[in-house]
Amino acid sequence: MKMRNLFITAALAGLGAGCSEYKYVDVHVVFDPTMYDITSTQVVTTCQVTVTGAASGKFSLPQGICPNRTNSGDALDAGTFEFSTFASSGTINFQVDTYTGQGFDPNCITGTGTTPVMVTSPSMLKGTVTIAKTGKAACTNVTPPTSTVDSGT
Amino acid sequence: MVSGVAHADVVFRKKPPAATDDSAAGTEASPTGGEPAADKTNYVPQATDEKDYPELQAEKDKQAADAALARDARKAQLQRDKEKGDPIYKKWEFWAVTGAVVVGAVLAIWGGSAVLHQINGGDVQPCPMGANDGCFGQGR
Repeated sequence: MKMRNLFITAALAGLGAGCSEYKYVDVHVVFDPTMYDITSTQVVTTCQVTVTGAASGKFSLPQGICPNRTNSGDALDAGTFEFSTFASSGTINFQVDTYTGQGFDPNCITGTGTTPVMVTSPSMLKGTVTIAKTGKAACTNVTPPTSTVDSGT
Repeated sequence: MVSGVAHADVVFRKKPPAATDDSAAGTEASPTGGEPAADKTNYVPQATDEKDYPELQAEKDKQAADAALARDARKAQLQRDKEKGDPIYKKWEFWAVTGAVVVGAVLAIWGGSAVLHQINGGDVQPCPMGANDGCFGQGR
């Protein structure tokens, strides 16, 4: 009887240990209002998210939302995305890089922002990424080059 | 009306002669020639029906029992042959076991995949309206 109870407990523990539970992280992306205005955000063509830490991933945010080209709402608000993961502990780092021009040339990164999100017991987690200008201005994929566009901001 | 053949034995006998003193001479009743008649009281009786009946009855009983035994044995042999000779798919037990196995397998696969899916996190929630940038990550 004792052995049977032990076996059942071990089986349930094993089953529980094997179970996965989704965690959802809602990340709000905004341009730093101290660095960006409605004009400077329009230089951005692509926002790319890189996820590291307890989870991993890389994806681009939809153009038109990041940056906001809807002609409505806050021009510095680049929207919110939701990231799902099975990670049950640790920290997930969300980094958002904004590119100008075509492609993902590191020289064309105009701004970046990151936020760590601790994975805790609630299944719904939140984070905010504030994009700040990087100061890099050597992108030749655009005409005129960003060195002239970004200078002075 | 009783039908049948009537039968009667008719015996003709001579009338016995009148008794005489001539006892020395043989008479028809006690002829002199030949051997003397055997003593009537010293005969060995033949088998009678009263004595034959139990043996015959026993014999008949024995034959009937033997026949019944043989009949039973034959019947059992036929039954064995029938059971042995039938293909397995003609037996209801085969289909009962096969059906149970198939149903069990389907349930095990269906239930197992459902449990496995649940263990692996189940269904990811739909993308919320507020996520205007979209939804990414595992399960999406």
